[in-house]
Amino acid sequence: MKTRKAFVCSLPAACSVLWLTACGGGSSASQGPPAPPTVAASMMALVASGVLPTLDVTTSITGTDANNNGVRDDLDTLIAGQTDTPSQKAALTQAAQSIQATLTLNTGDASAVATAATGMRKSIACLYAQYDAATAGGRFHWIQEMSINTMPRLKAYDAFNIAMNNSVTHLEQGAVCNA
Amino acid sequence: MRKSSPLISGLLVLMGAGFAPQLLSAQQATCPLGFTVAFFNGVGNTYGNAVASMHATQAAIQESQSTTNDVYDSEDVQYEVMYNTTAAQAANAFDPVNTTILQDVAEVFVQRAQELDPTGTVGTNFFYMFWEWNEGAPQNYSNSLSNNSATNNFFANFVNAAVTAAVGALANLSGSQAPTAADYGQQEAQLTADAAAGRKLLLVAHSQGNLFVNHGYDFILPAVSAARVKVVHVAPASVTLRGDYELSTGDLVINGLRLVNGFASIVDPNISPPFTSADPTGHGYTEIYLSAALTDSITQSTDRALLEQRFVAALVALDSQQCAMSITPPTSTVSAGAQVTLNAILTPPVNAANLESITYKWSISGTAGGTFSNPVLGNEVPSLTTTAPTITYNASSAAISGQADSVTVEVDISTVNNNNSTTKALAATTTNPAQITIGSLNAMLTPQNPTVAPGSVTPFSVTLQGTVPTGISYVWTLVGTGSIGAGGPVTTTAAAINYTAPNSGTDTLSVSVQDSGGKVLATSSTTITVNPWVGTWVGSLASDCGYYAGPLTYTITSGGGNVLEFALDGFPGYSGTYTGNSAVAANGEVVFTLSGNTFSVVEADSCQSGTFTRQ
Repeated sequence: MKTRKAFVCSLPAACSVLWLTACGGGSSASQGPPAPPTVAASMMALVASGVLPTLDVTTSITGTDANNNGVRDDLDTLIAGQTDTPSQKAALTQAAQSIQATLTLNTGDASAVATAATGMRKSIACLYAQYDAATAGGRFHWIQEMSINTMPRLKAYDAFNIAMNNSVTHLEQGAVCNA
Repeated sequence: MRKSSPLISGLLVLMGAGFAPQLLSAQQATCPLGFTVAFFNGVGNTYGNAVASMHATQAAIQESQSTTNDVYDSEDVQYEVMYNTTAAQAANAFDPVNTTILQDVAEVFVQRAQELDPTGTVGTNFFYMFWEWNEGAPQNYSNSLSNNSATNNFFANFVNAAVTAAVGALANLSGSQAPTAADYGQQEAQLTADAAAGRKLLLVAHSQGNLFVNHGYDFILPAVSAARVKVVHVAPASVTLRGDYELSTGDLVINGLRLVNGFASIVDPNISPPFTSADPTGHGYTEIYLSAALTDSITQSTDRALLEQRFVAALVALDSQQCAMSITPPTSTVSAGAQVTLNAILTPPVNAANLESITYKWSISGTAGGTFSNPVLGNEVPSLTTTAPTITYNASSAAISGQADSVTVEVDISTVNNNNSTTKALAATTTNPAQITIGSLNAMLTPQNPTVAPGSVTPFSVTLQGTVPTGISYVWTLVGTGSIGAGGPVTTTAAAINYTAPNSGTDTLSVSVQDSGGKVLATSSTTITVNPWVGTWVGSLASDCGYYAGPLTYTITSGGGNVLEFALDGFPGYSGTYTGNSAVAANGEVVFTLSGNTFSVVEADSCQSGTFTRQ
């Protein structure tokens, strides 16, 4: 139990809920039938069991990136845990990097926005190069969903999308994968 | 619609936004070449979603052509993402541009999650699940909410609220937040550039993109005509359409919009796939409309197959021949063995900027058996490919008058970025081939049937009518006792020969015009009569009764038959007849007696006589 608690409590918002769940709801646990788990508890249980991903939900836009690879460490872990091929995982990492790069962007800098957009197009082209077409789009949606997992991150990401509003761009060709 | 950011406004200026397509009229003088597929994204899309949808469209088109290259019928295909965000419903006068509907949807999720779970865990730790209202991860993490009895249909209710937000945003696009000129500017600039490059345009729009695509189509149509721009509408949110469409019965967003704008505002659905938890809104571009897993109950085809069919139909229409091929000269009449230079003309010409290579495939059919000379192998062939728009047709030397050949040419092109795929017929003269007819060559030998003097030298020449092949020769044959040189037939390259007459008799001179292979193209002949009286005779008269005596020159010519015409010292007007060596004139009063190259003349009533010698 101690090990499980320490694992989940790397995610602050989840700590209190899991602690309550793990402890059976406090002293009332010994009186009558146990109360059904709350929605939150059920969901956190699914996280603990690996059904749902363990994600960094801190207020930081960029989260923790100890290895400085431009991807949150929780996403690195998540990608590493996939059953995809190394090349596919590299493409997922590239996509995560391209999304992460938009979060700290100065959207008033046209050159920076264009560079970020190019990086995103390349990463998506790389996904389509590494996966079959039926899978590639879903992998982008997945890494986008995992990356943009808090409101602050969504707002930062949205600023990039707004900067790209009304734009016309071409699909990237050639060497689109970084690795 | 959302106002453009200063960044985009700047880009618009750089891109030359505001070009009127009518200004491109001069650009239409290029043969359309290459395809551009532009994708107008759906409601609530991130930029990455739009790019991914463009890739999905690209994959579908490639799949329909069984290729992994960006090629359609050997012309390159380029893909453009026309990206537009969807403005937030929460926008207000103080903050009209800073958020998109994505934040609206996310806030709905958080608010409802807070109601479900006041601790905030669901809203915080599982915030990411809001993405799954529409185009989320295929893992469908939100199923854990849907399948939990304690959530009381939380996620389904959230999806309904998200759809409501999307419907509201789409409705506003036709009203209070309608796209502005700034929203259209960069798209107009790009379409203008594509049109100027002579490209054919397939515009694909999903959801809100249909509101933009209609404007784009209407904008560029005057510049390119309907033959060069087609639209495929997917889940159209627009009242009017510009092309074929695909709309699902289960599309909650469009169904909601229909309720808001009125039933007549949206076209009827034409596919009916089953519900899928991959996209509970039934609206997603890739999850629904490009899904190979969903089968339309109406056609029993997959949604993906049906949409691919619509893409292909549009591409086929764009691919129809839009340039004219012709050959000059369109008709020719040549002699057997002759040559004709033919020129292929493509109207309008290809825009060189898109062209990687161009070849011309020439082919001959018909009865005349004409050929092209293969410059590589040196043989004669009935079909040949050239890189230049010119070729030489060789009429068969064995052809006869009245036979004809048809020459067709197909122009094949290879465009930039088409991955060296097999070239295609951009245009051909299948229905308007060049006609080459073998005509007769007439030869006329002149002078015709002359009467000449014995020993005289008469030049004969040949006049030809018709197309004269190169390398011809003239073979002269003489039957008789005159001479044209050597004893046998004489061959010349000049169309003339000298004939030396014998002393008497009738000769026949013939000429045969032959091509370089010895085939007789034309002949002509003439008879030559040697009249011993004809010629110029010089002598003098004597008279012993007072008439003229002195020098005199007789010029005698043939009057036909046995008639002789006399001119005395250049004064014509005297006629006579002859028989053998005797001739008479002036009703028999003047008697001529010929002896070789001299004759004597006697006129008894004037006591005149004389002897004259042929000059």
